[in-house]
Amino acid sequence: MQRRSTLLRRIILLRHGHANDHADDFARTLSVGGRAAASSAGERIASAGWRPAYVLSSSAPRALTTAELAAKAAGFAGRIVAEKSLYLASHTQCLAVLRQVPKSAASVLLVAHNPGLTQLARDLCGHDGDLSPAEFASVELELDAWSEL
Amino acid sequence: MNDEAFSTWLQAVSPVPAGGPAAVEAVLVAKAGYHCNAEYPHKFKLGAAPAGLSYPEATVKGMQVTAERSVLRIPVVAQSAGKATVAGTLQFSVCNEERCLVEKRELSLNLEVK
Repeated sequence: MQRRSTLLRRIILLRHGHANDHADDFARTLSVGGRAAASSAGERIASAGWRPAYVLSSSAPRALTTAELAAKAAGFAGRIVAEKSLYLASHTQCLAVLRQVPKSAASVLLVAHNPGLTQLARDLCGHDGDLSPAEFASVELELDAWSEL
Repeated sequence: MNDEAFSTWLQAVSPVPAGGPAAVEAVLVAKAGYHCNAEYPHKFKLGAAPAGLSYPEATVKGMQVTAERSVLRIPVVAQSAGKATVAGTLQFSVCNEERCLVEKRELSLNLEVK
């Protein structure tokens, strides 16, 4: 009999922190408050016992810095993968990126943008309302692999 | 340190004189299909200075970034002759067409101060 490798896999969806205005939207950077909120989100993720095993981010500086600060505060010291396709991605694009997470990772932190991230948080996590800056939603799913999402 | 996407190391740039300023370099080389990320704030966080060495800056920024090879000059001051190890963490990023990798690597270099 073949043994199945179904695991409870944790998804944490984190919206980037508050960002400063900039003529080029992609180049916007986190405000001082946004940086503090990103670290605080990471601390709350760690407090919940959800240490991420894999970290994905939009490549936009405001998202990537949020990912770095939150991951550090959550106890993650590995590689952060900043996907260009996650910049202002729709929920289906976010889902497509999540499906490519290595099977070996039991949990993933995804940092991206509204409205796509909020839509995904509603669909996957049953989250009510819009995700505020540096707010996260999470769900645990029984999956053989991330490609099953 | 080697990876499929990059190599990183510390290197001496010249003899390190006792009693004067000197520098070492953190080097990042992007491998085929990747380039150094010019948008990323690369930095090197030095560990505790060993006996006989001091660091003017605990965190060094301002990496000179080109697509294939990037170099960060790290100032050190040696107080006395002998052997010493410079160590710290390089935070850097390389990209391909689809994604950027943001990494940290612990690097060290044994120096002979003359």
